[in-house]
Amino acid sequence: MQFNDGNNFSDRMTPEAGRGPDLRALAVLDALGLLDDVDAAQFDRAFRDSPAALQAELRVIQAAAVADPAFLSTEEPSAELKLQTLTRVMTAVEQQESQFAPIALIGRMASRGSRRVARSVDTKDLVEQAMELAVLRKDVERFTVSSYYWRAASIALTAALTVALVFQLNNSSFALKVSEYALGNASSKQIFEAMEHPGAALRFDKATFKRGLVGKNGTPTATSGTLTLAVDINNGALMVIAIGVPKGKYTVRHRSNLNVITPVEKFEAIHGVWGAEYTIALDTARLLNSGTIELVDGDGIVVMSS
Amino acid sequence: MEPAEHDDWLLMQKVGEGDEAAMAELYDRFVGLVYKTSRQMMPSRAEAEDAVQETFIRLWQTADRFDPNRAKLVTWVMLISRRHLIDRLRRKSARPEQLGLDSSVDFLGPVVMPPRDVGGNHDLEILQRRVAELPELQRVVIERTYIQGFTLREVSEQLNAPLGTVKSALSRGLARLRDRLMSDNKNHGQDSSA
Repeated sequence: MQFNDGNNFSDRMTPEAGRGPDLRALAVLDALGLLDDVDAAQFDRAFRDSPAALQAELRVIQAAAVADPAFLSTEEPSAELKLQTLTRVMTAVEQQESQFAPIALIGRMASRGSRRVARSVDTKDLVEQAMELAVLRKDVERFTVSSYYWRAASIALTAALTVALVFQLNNSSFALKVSEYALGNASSKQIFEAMEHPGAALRFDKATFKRGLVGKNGTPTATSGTLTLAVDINNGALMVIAIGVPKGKYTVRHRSNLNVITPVEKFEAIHGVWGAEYTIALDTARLLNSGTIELVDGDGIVVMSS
Repeated sequence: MEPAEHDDWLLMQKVGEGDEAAMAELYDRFVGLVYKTSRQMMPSRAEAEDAVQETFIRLWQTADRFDPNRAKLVTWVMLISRRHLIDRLRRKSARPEQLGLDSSVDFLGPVVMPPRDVGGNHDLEILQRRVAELPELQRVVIERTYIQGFTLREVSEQLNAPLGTVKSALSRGLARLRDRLMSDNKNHGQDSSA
């Protein structure tokens, strides 16, 4: 016996089905967490493609569904629960803070203010952190002039500080994940997986990563650097992270297989570790899927090429 | 974005930074809903309270993902809460084997609900009773998804029924269940005031 209760729902949502009453019914299931990942992602897409008025209506429907008193216990929480909960959460916060604290600080202590953990990473955060790192790195370098031993130690310490810097920003934001990728701590697959969650502020259907750009013209200061680009070809969001790139003005450009050159973005590297986020034209973003990425310095010399 | 939504976004940013005052504000605003949902699904008060604490840890961990353009804060909080509860239920519950609807009539019998407190969970009892009164397919789908935490696709496979049928049964079952529970609450209110 195959059960059939005579409804007309399709097995899989279609763009046509993802409108009106069907979308409203699915909004309730989505809010209750009853859709699986595939359907939730499709609902999310249908939601984002909906007119603003329908989106607003769906948000209200979902909020009403999750707070529907018919499905809630009538029991009230105990007064002690607040203290217990806050204690447990703050303990978890502190544990994470100590887990990602720097191994050591050498040289002058920059004014850091109150330390924050698990914060979102935006470009400003990244640049601020990069500046801190640059100061620490300089101090380490000054400290390690004449001895190979100390030179090796400084490299290890700088790497550790870099990793600590990145992991101190322990969050699954796009910037952090790209940073992890740039440092070789995450694969692109892990980044894509980290981006996949219903209701996320960021969703990347497809992104293209180019990394490991190597110095081309023998510029010694550039040979150890990397430039990592992450681009969302659907909305033109471009993340650039430069590690070990000398100070100066640069242009990131694209060279097609037919040698057609398209400038992508200009930036000025100020510190040893540097990052920024741009929005570029969709056509340009899609170009980055193929061809070669080049980093050109202020004199017009290609210092890195993918 | 409306000012209230922007405020919610700022609140969650602070929660994500581990700001204790922001966490306390989040707790004050939503603990009622989070606890009542937990209590509805968890067999004991102790387990419900533990689930509430873990839910707020999850809210701290996922705070940066909150998007006010996608959902209101209450929806986000309750989604995180329900997912956590479902994870707990899935860890605890023994999973039924995959069977077709035609393989056994007994398969559609009542599911084994979590053991209850010695003192009983009146809300859970009412919920169970009302679920048991639903038409067969609606009852099984609600028990499996809403109470036991199976996904719609898993239930569809277990019942060998089209996914659309399962979705439809769930939507209609929840609507019917809601009407009956609201009616119970209304009657209960009248009894109390009499």
